[in-house]
Amino acid sequence: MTQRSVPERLRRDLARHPALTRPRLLARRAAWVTVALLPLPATVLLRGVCIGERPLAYAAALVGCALTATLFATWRLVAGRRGGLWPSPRSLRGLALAVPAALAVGQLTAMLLLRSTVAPAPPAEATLCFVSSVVCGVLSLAGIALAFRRSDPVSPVATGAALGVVVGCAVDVAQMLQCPFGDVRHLVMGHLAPILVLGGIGAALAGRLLAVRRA
Amino acid sequence: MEAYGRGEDLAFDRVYTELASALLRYLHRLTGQQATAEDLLHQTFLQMHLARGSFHPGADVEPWAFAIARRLYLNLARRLRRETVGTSDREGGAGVDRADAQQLWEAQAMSARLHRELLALPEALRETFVLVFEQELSFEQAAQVLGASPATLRVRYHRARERLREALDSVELSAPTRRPR
Repeated sequence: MTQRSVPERLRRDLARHPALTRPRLLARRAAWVTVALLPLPATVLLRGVCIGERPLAYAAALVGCALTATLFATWRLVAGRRGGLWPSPRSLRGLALAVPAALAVGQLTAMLLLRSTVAPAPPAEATLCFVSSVVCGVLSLAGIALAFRRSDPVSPVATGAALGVVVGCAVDVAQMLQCPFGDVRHLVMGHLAPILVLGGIGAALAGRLLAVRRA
Repeated sequence: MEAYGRGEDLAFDRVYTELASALLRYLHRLTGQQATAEDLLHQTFLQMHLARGSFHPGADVEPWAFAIARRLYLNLARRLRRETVGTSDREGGAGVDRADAQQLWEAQAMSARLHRELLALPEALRETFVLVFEQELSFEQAAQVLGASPATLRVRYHRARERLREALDSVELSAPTRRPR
């Protein structure tokens, strides 16, 4: 095999495009992710924790399910990384589909087992929860996608969808802490649907932000 | 690459020396054009430089580098399709003139024909064959590059070999120097 030396044109381009070393990149990503996730605790602090008409055990189960889904999905995303690559597309697609499904099963089961008498919330409340979840989630997702921009050469769409679902689950934790309602329609429309929407937005954003492109 | 990721700029030369030939061969197989392959090679190393902090210490650099090269090729192919500029060598390769059969038996022409037949393969089969047979990546490494499972790649590799064997008639494909894992 012929050994090639670095061409001058490439050396000039390398000098023109300074790149962060690993310690600096990790620090920058940590800062970006922290800032991106700030809206979640901020909304809880501003609006306060609210149990509302939900029995305490039911409210705790809803939050617990969302928290478990967030931690599990985050762990799968982080632990599944190989070298400089994200987890395999199959694993990411599985995560993007299975985690919202498992969360829905968990929360609806909690509703069946633990809810006593929760009056149905007005439809406008579900819309409010949906909109606030999506807006909050999009801000966080955009920040995280920017932190990891141009990092996925294999399957940016699947990675974006998985990131969207993770952010959606995290938003659900924050929303569940402050939403007083817990009937099935509100749960599905106001809290579970945004996770799917954020997964879709993540997939759409990914092509622009996560995909490797020419410099 | 690990040293380069930590900030040792001189390590880039070692990375380039070790990977450039293999990446260029891979890109040439994908594009069918030397100039395009050279340009994509340039871009691949530029991207590796820009993403040097993303590389995990202790990881295998080949799947990462090949994945970046492949993505840049796919981006280019998509852009060309959109612009409907379709006069590449690749299209010429798909329509091999069978009248040249006599020359194809000569050793040099054989290599050229293999190249054309490779370019005529469906993209998924071609990529798998090039990575496993020519670049001698294991099925696990190739799976990371292509984002498919190793089992799928074993099937694709087998199909690619069969198609090439049929296309090249009685010419037996020699086994790779390192048996695919």
